[in-house]
Amino acid sequence: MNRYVITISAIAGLIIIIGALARDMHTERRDKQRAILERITVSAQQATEAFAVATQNIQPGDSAKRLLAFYEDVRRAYKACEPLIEYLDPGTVTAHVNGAPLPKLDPKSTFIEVLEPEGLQVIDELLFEDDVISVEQITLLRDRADRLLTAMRYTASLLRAAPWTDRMMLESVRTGVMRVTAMGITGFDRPASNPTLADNIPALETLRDILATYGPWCEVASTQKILAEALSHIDAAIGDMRTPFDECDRVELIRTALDPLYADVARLQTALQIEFADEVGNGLVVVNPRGMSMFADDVFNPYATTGMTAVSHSPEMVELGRLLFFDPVLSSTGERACASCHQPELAFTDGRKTSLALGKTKSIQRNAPTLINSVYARRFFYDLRALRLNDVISHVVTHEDEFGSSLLDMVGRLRDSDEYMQRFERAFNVKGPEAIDATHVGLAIGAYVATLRSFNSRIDRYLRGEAVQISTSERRGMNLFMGKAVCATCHFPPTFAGYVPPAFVESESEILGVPMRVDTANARPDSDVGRAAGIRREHSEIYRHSFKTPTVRNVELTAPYFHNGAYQNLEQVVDFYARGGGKGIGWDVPYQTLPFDNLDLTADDRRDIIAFMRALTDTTGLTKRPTRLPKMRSSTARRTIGGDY
Amino acid sequence: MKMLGLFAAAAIAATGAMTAQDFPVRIEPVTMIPYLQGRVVVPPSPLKYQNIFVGGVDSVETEMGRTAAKQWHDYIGYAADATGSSLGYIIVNHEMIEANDKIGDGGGMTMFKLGKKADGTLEVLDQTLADGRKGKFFNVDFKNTVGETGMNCGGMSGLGRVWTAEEWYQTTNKMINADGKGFRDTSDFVIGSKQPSGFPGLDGKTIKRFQNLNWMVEIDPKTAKAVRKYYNWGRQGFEGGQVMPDGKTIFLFEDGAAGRSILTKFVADVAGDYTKGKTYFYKQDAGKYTGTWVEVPNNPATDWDILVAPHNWAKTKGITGFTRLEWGAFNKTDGKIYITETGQDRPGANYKSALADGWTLPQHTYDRAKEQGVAVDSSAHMDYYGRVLVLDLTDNSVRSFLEGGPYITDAQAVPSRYPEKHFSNPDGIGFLYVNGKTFMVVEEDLNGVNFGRMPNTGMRGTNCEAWLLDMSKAPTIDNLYRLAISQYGSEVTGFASLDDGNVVLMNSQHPDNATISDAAAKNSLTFAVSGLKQLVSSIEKDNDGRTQGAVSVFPNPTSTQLNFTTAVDAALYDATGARVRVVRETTSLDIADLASGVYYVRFADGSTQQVVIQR
Repeated sequence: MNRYVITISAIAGLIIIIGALARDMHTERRDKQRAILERITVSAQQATEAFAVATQNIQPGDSAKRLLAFYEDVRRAYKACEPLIEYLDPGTVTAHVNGAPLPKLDPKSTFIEVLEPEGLQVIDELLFEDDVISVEQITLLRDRADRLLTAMRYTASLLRAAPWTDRMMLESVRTGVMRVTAMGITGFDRPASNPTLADNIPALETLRDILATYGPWCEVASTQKILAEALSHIDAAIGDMRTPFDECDRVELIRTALDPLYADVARLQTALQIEFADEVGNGLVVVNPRGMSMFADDVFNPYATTGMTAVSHSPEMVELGRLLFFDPVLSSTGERACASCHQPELAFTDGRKTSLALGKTKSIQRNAPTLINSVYARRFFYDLRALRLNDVISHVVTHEDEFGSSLLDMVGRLRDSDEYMQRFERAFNVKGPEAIDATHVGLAIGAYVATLRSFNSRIDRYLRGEAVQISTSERRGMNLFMGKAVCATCHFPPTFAGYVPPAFVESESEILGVPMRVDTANARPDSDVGRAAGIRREHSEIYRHSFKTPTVRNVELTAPYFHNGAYQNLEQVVDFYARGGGKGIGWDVPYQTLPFDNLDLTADDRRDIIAFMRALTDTTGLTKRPTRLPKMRSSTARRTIGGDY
Repeated sequence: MKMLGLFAAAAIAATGAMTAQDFPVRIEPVTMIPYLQGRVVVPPSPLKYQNIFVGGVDSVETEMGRTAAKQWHDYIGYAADATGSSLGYIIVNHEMIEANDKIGDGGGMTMFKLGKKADGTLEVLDQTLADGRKGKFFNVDFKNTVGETGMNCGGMSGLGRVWTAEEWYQTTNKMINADGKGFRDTSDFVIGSKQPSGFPGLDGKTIKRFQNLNWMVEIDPKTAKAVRKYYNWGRQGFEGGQVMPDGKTIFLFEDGAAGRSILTKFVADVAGDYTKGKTYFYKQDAGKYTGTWVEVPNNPATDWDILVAPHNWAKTKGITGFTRLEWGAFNKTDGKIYITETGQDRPGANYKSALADGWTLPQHTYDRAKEQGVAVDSSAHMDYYGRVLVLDLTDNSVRSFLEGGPYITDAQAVPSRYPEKHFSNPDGIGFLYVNGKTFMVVEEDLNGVNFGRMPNTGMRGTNCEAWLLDMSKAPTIDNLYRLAISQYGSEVTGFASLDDGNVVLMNSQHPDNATISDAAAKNSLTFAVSGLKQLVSSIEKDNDGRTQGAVSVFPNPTSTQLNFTTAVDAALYDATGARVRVVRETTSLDIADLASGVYYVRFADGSTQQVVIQR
């Protein structure tokens, strides 16, 4: 008995000693992290202040070059803060510090109020537009410098004062890796000045400094190996960032350094038993904090955009959604199903310029987009008018040229089936006829569409380090896509769509100036105004002819291209971009968001970019049609699986 | 054998301390037993939530038959039942523009009558209206009376009467038509073509269709019919108003452009008849918080040009332009009016053009710029959190009562309660008089997710909160008490207090979350929260009975979170010893989504308390 107590006391004492050592180790790490934050934020604030002063001192007629050194200092200093602020407050980065240099709308104003772009990228354009500075440029530069200063002061204060924890530190490292991979190496940040990979070095150095603070803990916990691997992957990436922009092999950079690093950090977090983002509350996590590759299906939480959870998204609901997707009972004539225009064999498109209207006599306004990976978006339809995946179907049902039905009539038709009744009851845990309503139809179809995901193309597998090969042409194509050809500055990895990294809370649309038909010399503008006729709050000039940026994945199967299906093949599409879009072929396209300079792509370049896009095809397991549809009680109308046309 | 078990347990604990910092992913519940220091029971919440009215699912009776109700619930109007046989009539605004053959184009309103059952739950009563419509929910007809309304957002109720406000300020017929998706009829409108919905002095006047929008519109809550548009108050982007108990005075709040949003007062000549009287706009004295009410020519027959575009007149008089006023409410305990001002991220450019046009800005706007060290019209000026203003009727002063925030500045660093207590973009406001005390209820509607408005606590998108402030305490963010947090992506709007303060009605607009297999969670929803008297007693008990210093765990009376007496690191484990939550340096732990059962809260020093959650 006595010995028992002594032993327990001894063990308890040991625990206390180890605990005390551990506390010292943790305190030391926090102090080091605070020192890093202090250093990078002070530097960012000082550099921005110096830049603001320099804009005050410049005179009309001076060369813009006089400001370049100050500007580059701000960029470098900001880049060191970038992983942390992109993690903590991505909304502020997009709106005020380093967002695309395009006007936006005030999301909550009663009026349609255009917010002029601000941040580093606008300043980049102002500095590199003309060498000799005009009075207007100076006014704008001073104004944007002042705005940047307030935003940078806020950023610096937030970074210093935020209640950082180990979880947040490691998650910000992962955010930083995603930012470098998806934007940093593509030239996204420098719309006018010459892109350089060296921009990524300060960000990677911050990641390295943060990770290095985990050394003592890793030693105690015997996880030095993971940390050493992470640090060596960062060093390898930094090494690659010293190569010229057009010469870097981004494929190998991602495969051998950045993607492994992304996994290393999650492994480290797991090994140290640090909590993950999904454990701190019941909020929705968009990027899966436990994902082991940026090019794998589990990189995102697919439910973040549906509002569903893995629990509510049951196999019963998915199967119900699949039946509804292929059942023409949703349309007023019983002839058309979702699958009429979204055919699984064509990656859920229909191969038509624009889809056939109900009644076959005409076509609807736009081309049918692929549904694969459509769940990875914040907004839906070419004009971004639907805010939830689950809402999409109601637009289709009630459109007179699509399903031509009211929602109540559609619900009435479905209630004529005992099997549907049972399936809805099971999927939604509601008894009786109320189990079938328009909301549940939307949720079930959304649940099915959310399963149409593809992250197993040869490119993905190669980037994940699996034992597959890619050709020299495909490799070169990806390097062009992610570099010189600037495709990835709108078609962001890993979705290769306008789903904006690294926070993935926004879907972009772009104004390209797509003509009515493929014609360069006598092209005529397309009359579809796109997003400017979408949701009412966005009926603005800045969105005239703006369309959602679709994914490039499976593009091999989804011809013809663009919202109007005007382009029959990828060669034509690449040519359109290479010329600089609508502006490039000589029209006045106000607010064109596509760079309008000629990209100087050789025939080989074009061939290789297309080869890369074709290697992004993967529809494995997604193309199966159901073999039967639920029976109706009283209706005897014949229904074709997937619709008659 | 027993000793061996304890050895093993201690060894696991020791390994935990070495490698896992404080909270290993999994613990054997047995290892907690030596450390168990107490047991906390989280009783079911005294608050009872009841879904009352679901947009898109419940049917409304229209003059053209039955159809699904519109969505986007916003303001809730309330008129008590004078007979005392029910709780009264409820009117819900639909903040939208939609072409709808049965309900009418534009926005709309839905009326229903609420009763209380013997068990205390609420029920929507069956009614037969004067026009013969039978059912539970009734569409308010605007189209065939006063002309359509658009974006019915805010409104006001008082003395048994209800008004709706039309926020969506449009200036052409093309805009209101919105390619046929909005108001399909853009022909000229003749005021008073349908009596009795006309207006003295204007009957027979022909106006452009768009000019018939953006007025305060009275409706009769009992018959579900529109009464008239109040052309004598001016055409503005109204968001809310307050009917004063004298039956004569009305205050109106505009959600317009930053630097051009008007604070209006109307005083009727005769109590109860608001068609005749004087209209005033507020003008603050330069450099002061006090101000005067400037009379606006408002004879409908002769001053139509001023009334239809009052901003053009206001700027020539140096009227004070606020930064988007939202709703306001009269506190009958102190006799003051509290108004929400939502703010704007970068209002400087709007201020600059407003000042150039002749508007003046309120003193609190200059104060804020001064604090930031910028000129008021500088593009660097920021106002991303907004505030609650107080209008003192004794000296006509307008001051900031409760600033949103906390702002993160070098001087202030991060207040200890950030992000737990974090107040942004107030919108809805109301007062609750319970147990002899006065509480302000404020509801958020986030204008954005930048500048830390959605702190990175694992949440993304927007979650708006409803807060309670005990008016006997200092108006600080730390003294706010979270009453409700909305569904992901939704906005909490509307507020009506019934049944002697024990029940409030609120709306959850445009929710973005379908995690609950309940149609109500996926649509705009009007819901009732009852049990506020008991809640208020619980809050007061919490505030009194807790000693600071030693960590103790106690439940939030709404049973959505566990509270700690001091900021701590803590982890919650389920009965099997699996880690389900970890929080750092915080005084609360969110348990809203956790099922009934036994859990363990473990602190960084290893001490553990058992927690029993009852639902």
